[in-house]
Amino acid sequence: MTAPELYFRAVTKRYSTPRVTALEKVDLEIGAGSITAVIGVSGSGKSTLLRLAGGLDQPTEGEIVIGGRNPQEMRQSKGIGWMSQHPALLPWRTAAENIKLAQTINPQPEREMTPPGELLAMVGLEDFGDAYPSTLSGGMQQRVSLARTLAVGGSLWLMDEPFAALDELKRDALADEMLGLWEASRPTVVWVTHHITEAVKLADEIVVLTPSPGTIASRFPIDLERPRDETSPAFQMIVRRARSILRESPAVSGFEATG
Amino acid sequence: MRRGPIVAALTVLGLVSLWEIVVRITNTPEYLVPAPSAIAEHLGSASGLLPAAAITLLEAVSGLLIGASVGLLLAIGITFWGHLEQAVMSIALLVKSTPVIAVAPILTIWMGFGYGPKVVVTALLTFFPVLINAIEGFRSVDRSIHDWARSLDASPSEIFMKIRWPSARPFLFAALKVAAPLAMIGAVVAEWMGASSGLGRHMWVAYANLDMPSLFAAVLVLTMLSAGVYRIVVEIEHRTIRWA
Repeated sequence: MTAPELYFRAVTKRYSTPRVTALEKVDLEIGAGSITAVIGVSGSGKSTLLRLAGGLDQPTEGEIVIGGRNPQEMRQSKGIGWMSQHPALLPWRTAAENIKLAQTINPQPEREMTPPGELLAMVGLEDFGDAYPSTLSGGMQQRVSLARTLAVGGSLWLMDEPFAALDELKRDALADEMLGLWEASRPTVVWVTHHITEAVKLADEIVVLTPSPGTIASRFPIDLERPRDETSPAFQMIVRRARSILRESPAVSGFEATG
Repeated sequence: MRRGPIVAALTVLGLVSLWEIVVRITNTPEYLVPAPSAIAEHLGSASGLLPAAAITLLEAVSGLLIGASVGLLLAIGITFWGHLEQAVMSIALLVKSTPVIAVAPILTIWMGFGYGPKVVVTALLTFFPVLINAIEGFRSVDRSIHDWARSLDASPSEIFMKIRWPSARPFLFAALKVAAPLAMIGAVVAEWMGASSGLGRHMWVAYANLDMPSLFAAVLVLTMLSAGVYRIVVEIEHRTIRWA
């Protein structure tokens, strides 16, 4: 499946309860096959942006176009790989069965699906296909979740702080794995994160949102070669730049400037 | 070998022995407190107690199946059509708040001394815990799981069958563990209000004749049946829910 471009055109999202404008006239284009990290303080509408792209919520105004289609059409064709902070695994299914379920929901007979065993091997869990989620560590559960994201073969990956609940070492390891898997198929990725270093390490571009209502405060490309050396001056310069933009935001208290 | 069951059995045996000794030493009349040996003798003489227990068990299980099915269907309806909730819950609460002891005689007058009123009373007692737990269970799906399923464009029926239903199973078993012993009580209470057979009828006759060994034997059988149906539910739960 060819990776799509993603466009937000004057997208506004208002919620009625509580009455709040999460996003205000957001214009954004995301290149096909790229990784875009979206950062911002808590309440800046990062997750809303992702939910709108995934068709889980509808914009109040404006439109979202993904490779010429709307988000609902993308969902219908199972073009979206969704991953959240919680592994969202079904506890009554084994790791392999969880992955299989992603392939059997809304079946797409014309699409060739990778067997769950192979997907688990890609994330280093080939021996854990029969394990129930409760017997796996948090990092292993997120690996299964990552394998499940790959399972549907979607060309747009929407990832909402997928490794936020993990410790730093596990987060780094999983980010590297994710990068390897992305390089294999080059989907378009939108990656919401609170972690500046992670954003600079992974993304082709960083988008910074202002707090409530969320608008685009800044966006800048990251031209560093991969794999990126976190200790290099160029890397650190981008981290400092992202951090200074965030500090200029009106409400920085919710941001974990740990990067 | 596990020591827990042995200790429990020895404790029960000790208490029963103490009961027997106290009754014999104090020469307590049988119409006040019968000795365990007299109760056992009554149980062994098969004086219609087992057929009565079978009838009560049949009424209880029938009522439980009907009550649980109604509770489950209502919960499914509420899950799919949320606007039904207020109406259904108002009626359910009304039924739940009406004492079964007050309803049983009315049902006996309407439906006679047979099987019908006992099943209805049992169903009225058991549908509510199933309804409440099923609604809770169907709603217990984590938002992140729901979002993930929607990102795949899962239909409402796929979400129900593949996610909500299995997710609700622990809640349904919790409800059945409450409802199953309740069903036995419901059937016996309904029999007390008027019946031609069953454990309740047996107790009522024993009570009227001050036949305490017979009454105690019936209580013992009822207790064992209640514990038995509870145990069956627990066994099915253990075989069905393997991931916990």
